[in-house]
Amino acid sequence: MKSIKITTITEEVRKLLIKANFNLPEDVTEAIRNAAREEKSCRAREILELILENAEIASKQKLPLCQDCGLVYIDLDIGRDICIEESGNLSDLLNQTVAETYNNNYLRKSVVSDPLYERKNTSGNIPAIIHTGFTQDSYLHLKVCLKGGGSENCSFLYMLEPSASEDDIIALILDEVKKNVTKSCPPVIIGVGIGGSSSEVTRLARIASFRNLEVRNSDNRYKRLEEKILNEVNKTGIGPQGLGGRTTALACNIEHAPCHIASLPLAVFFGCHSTRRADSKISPP
Amino acid sequence: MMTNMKNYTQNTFQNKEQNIHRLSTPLTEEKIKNLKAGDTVYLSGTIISARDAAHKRIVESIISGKKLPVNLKNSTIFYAGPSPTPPGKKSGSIGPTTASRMDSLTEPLLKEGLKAMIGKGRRSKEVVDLLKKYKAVYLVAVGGISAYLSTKVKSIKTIAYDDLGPEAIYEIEIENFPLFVAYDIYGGDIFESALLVE
Ligand code: SF4
Repeated sequence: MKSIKITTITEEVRKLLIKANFNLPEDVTEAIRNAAREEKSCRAREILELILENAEIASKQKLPLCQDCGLVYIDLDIGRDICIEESGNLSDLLNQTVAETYNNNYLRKSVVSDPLYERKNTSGNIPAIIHTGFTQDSYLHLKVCLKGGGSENCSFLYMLEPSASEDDIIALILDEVKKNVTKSCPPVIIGVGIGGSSSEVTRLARIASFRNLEVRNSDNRYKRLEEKILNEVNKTGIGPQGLGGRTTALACNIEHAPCHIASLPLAVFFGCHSTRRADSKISPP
Repeated sequence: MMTNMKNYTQNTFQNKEQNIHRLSTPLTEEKIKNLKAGDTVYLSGTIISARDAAHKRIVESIISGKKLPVNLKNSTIFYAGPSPTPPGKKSGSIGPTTASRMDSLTEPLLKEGLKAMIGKGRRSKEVVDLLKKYKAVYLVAVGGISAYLSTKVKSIKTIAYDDLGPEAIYEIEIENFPLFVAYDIYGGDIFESALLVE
């Protein structure tokens, strides 16, 4: 067994939260740059250039990219033979780190304690949503994703009949895009989960929407479906912020999984252009 | 397809050159009657922020006849919950939130004289009609460029509902804040017209 100290993990989480809030990931920056070059609409181009300028100001001046500093997701993919040396409860310590980081860095706290009744701000942007998983790697892979409320509200889940086709899925996604995408700060990243179960498929869609834009699905059929969906969405003309243009989405990322004989779950997460994620690999000393 | 594209480019260029308005608050009917969906507005002056929780309280006060903490006559409301202002800065990051969540709470405020709303995204058909009826406009700011937009803010402070944190009512002094007219007082709709030209 090789052990990693819990304080090494919390310190890394603090750095990742700061990195994600103030810096647009390189692959997203590159995708926006390319889109701006290809955009025919003047207004759309102007908006894409503003997004790039915003990213520069945010990282130089240490101002959050977006005022909505998101709900925090922390994923810990624990490699084999790795143990975490704990001196307390892991999720308590991670939440404490999130609250301190948000308070010390003037980040917006957007979490309320009770969803239906008090809706009182918890003042620390906590709790974070924490997932742990196990891998065959020799390190611990720590991932932080921040999800804003506007785009989050446009997520959807369909439990399709197993006979549903690729075209049915494209049509459903297009329909949702037309109805809701203007609320998700387009250009968006369309994260699609297919398969699993109702709860698993939404996790897949979330992971897909935060996947690096340069990575495509390794199964050629799903890769082609990603391209088809992206193409159809960008034909709508909705454009950046819904104000017209060809860049409604920067990418469509699909994650798929086996599922029950009676089901075909489909979930979609709209990731806004302010896609904030950061990760690091911690190897035991 | 190609010719459509060309028209589109020309249209937006025309928009760009011809329909730019530099306006100061308070926005009155006189000032907003020239605004057409698709126009660009650079807004300066004092505006207030109010989002979900503040709207709920304002509407409850209006219904129960209580005095409002802010005067809504000829006011401009920014649907926004800014991030905290770091020391030495004039404002933290600030940007629009989804306007449609305020749709069902909008009419009572329009009755009190609200003239302009700033947000992002499409709104309901009812709101388009209400804006015609009450002669008010819906402006959109680009979402998610909040560090950039903070450079257009001269000062920001809470003036009511402090306990709501980012959902409090803030008074915001802006200068040349870049906006687009989404819905005008004639029923014009930027989201529809943006689609038609493609
Ligand atoms: S959808 Fe994204 S970019 Fe838009 S306001 Fe929300 S967090 Fe910011």
